[in-house]
Amino acid sequence: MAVSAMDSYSRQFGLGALRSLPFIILLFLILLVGTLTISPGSPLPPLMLSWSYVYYWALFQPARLGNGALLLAGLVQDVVLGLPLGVSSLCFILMRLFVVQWRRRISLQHFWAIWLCFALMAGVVAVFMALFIGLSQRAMVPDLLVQSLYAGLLAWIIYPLVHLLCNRIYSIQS
Amino acid sequence: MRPRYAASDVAIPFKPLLQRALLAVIVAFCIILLFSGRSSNGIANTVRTTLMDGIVPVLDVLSRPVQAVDEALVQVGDFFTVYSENQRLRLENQRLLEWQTAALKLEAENQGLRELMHYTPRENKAFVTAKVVGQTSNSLSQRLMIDAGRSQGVQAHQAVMTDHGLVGRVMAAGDSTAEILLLTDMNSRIPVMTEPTGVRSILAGNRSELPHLAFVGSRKDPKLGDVVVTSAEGDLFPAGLPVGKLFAESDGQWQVRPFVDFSSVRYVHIVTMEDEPVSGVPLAPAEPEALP
Repeated sequence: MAVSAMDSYSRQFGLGALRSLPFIILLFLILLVGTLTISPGSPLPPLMLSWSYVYYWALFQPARLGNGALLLAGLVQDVVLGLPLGVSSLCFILMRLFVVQWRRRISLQHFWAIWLCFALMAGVVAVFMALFIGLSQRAMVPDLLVQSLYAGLLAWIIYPLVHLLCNRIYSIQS
Repeated sequence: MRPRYAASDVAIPFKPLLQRALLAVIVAFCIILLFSGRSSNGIANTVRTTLMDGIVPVLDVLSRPVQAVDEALVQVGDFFTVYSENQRLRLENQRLLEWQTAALKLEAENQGLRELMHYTPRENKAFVTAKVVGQTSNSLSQRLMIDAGRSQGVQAHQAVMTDHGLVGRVMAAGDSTAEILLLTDMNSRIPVMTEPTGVRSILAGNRSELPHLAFVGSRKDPKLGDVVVTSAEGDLFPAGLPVGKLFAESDGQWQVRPFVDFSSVRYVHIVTMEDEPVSGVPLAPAEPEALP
């Protein structure tokens, strides 16, 4: 009796861990990319790998990465990258909202179309990020927009790798 | 008689409503954080310091391999420049020996004058040394993360420096970590003074490598090459911490080249001021000690 209860608990724990795998990997990615970009002396520019990751999950399995998880992950990213608190969470949630609206149309397309749509999303989110940072600091600087768009461009370039990684996680989950 | 509608037909779809309400709460929370971020006592500060205390140890562990590779690359680079470096150090050593002689002479003279004046210097500065575990130096943010916090005596608004000069100020301090706002950041404002011209102004960050002097409020004009040091206006920083040199003037704005190379900062000193600031210390002779 006790053994079966233990089995049930461990199965539930395993299922919970599997369900939260996308969130755990998002946190790990944020910390890893953060480490590479913020290590003293690192020449790497800010890399928004997380945007690509959020785009994928919002497109194929939005329930796996909910708004609460995005809030927490965004706060972690803000602390790691030294951004005003709340900026990344708002960007993640915006991206999720946009993608979920059109996911039925986009997700059935060929990979190239999905990648192209991400370019559009990354551009829009980059503009919003510059706006949020500017609002929080009460100063809009053109350089801020350029740097945000550059971060979006890098995220777009790296998207195919993230897509592959997410496909692997998706197959593990299903 | 059967009711015309079953209960399920008129049930309000609670789950989507709840999800929308939750989304609205999350967005509102983010906006509150966004706008309270500039205050050092707001909710954003509490959330940031709490998260920082949890994240910084993880970042420290993750960044060790990166730092090891970085150091190895520097060592390889040093190997190829060792001869020219040796020549440069010889010349510098010769120049420093000349300065040492001058400094010893001036020290003796200074000591003699202090004895004549019965002057007792008040040293009220103390330092906490910390390791830099994270650094962002781009247009989006210009900050450092260090591995010392409130438990080591670090508090918000304290001055942060290296051996070369001022780096910035403590923006938020957690239990064992703190975030430093670089003096080049858009939000940085530091009261400064030029030497020897004595012009007081505010050093304002502008996201470039060359912050500028704002509110130059003096009839005297600063001169190119003047040294910029902190002034104790508003009792924010101790006076006299070296900041940089006046580099150029464009459109009536003086640009300052900081003494610190921000890309190579690995350790910093946080100036923990004690009872009273250095400014306003009278140069009056000390009271003679009472005889027993």
